[in-house]
Amino acid sequence: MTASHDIFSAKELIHLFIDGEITDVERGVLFNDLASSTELQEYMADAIRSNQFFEQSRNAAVPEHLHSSILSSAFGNNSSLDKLLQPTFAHLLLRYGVAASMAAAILTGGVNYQNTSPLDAPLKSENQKNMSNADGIVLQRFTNTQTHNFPEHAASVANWHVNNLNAATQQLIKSESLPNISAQDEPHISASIEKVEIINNESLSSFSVPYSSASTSSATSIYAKQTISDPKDIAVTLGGFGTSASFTFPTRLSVLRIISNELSVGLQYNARSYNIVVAKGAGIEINPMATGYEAIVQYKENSDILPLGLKPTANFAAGYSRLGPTAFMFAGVSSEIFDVVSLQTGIEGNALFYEDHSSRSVAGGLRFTINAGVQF
Amino acid sequence: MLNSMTNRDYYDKSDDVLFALLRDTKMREKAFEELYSRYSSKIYLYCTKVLWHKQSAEDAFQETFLRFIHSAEVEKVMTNVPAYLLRIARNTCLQMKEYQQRRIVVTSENLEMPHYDKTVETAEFDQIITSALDILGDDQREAFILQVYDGLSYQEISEIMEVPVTTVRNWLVRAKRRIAEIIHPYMAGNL
Repeated sequence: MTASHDIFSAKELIHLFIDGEITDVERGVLFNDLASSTELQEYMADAIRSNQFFEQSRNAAVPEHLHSSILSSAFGNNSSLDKLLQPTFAHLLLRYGVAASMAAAILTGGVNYQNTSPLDAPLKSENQKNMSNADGIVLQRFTNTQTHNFPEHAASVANWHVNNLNAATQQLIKSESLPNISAQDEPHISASIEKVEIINNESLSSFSVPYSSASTSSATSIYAKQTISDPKDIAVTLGGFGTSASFTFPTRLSVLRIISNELSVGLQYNARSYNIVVAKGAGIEINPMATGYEAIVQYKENSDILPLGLKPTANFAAGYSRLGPTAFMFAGVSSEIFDVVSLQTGIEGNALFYEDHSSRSVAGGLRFTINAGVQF
Repeated sequence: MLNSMTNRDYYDKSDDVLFALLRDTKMREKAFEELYSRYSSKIYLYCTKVLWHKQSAEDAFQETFLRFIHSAEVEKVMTNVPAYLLRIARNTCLQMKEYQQRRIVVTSENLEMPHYDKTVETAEFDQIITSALDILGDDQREAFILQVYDGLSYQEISEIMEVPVTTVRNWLVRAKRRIAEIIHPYMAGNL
């Protein structure tokens, strides 16, 4: 047995001694070595100090959002979820920034208000019952943005169209035996310097991607556009309250995750009837934060190739968030009646591709939507 | 009577009583809050030290407590709540680690460093320790984390890891010697 091996063993004994796991025999050996070795004494002093540091380190601060998430997942604690959804100062700043931009647009341009009245209450309340907690929160959160003052005649015109479409819509819902049928208010507000549009989008029926308990939805959006070239080919866009997703990872954890775009800024190029928008969305993912990018291609046929002045309309958007790629599509028809009433109806869908433990999964849904409004 | 219990009443309850209250729909949330306040820090430290990847560690932490809550529905008696929690955390982290090794590239962005009320020096020292843990074998590292950060005895570690106490002893002294060699240059001026 060499001397170095003896010192080595003594160092091990020091750790056993500090941990209170040393035997009487080992203690005797250790103290003998300690008495004759300055190196061992220094080693022991270091070991004691680092042990004190470790003891102090035992009180790590647990992030608050984990506590809230556990409570909400285990007990369905909505108040905890509300805490999760409380906007930070930065988010409020973004929100009010968008609102200020909208106000400027309204002051300098005309106004085009489009609004669908809520569907009849029984249907809506029944659908809301079917929503998950997360959907409910998104709905509640963004419904607050619908406090518009608009002329009564505008509302009545909008109501007329929605009510006439309502019967057919309900029939459609009844005829579909789709899983997780739900509906969600999706107010959309768009604005430009020349014209301001405020559109309330009603999702009448939706279903999630099969075999996925996750779901996504298009939530409230605000959109403004400023043309910066003549002819009007290039514009700067400002958007907010865009696509949102609320879902859980069923195979991983029952932890709620919510994504919503608070603000996006982009350039828009109009190529004949095609609009191409490349935007960077500053989105929030509650638990945790994330940002993403999105590119949008919009198509609206300007010539009357369909009867009754209907124009084929389609949008497609692809994006990327930290959780994974996102996609949005809309296909339908739009029409303007006497340049006063505008209608748009079709199918829209969105999807979020994310990873769970073992594979890439998809969450999303398809919705039948109606936009109706009046321009003045 | 029980329904009108104050927070202080829950504070005074033992772990096994609080665990039993998890089956009571009216009192389970408060009982859980109290148990969470007692052991969340330990479990969080364990998850972050074992897993490194921030999101995985947070997921494992939440999963541990969710499984713990659900276990109250089937487990009637609980004699050692912290050991039980650590056992759940360990199983969860092992599953997460398998996933991590297959899919996740750990970057400095998502490398988890627990937050303490600490100075720059101690924060730096903690990072050195965390990095040093990486050179240990899985068993040595886990035993080290359970003993140093979670304050378990050698006997408790042997029960959780299901190995003899002598094995735990060997793992720990070797782990501590290696860690001590790494941190020795930093000890003189920083702590």
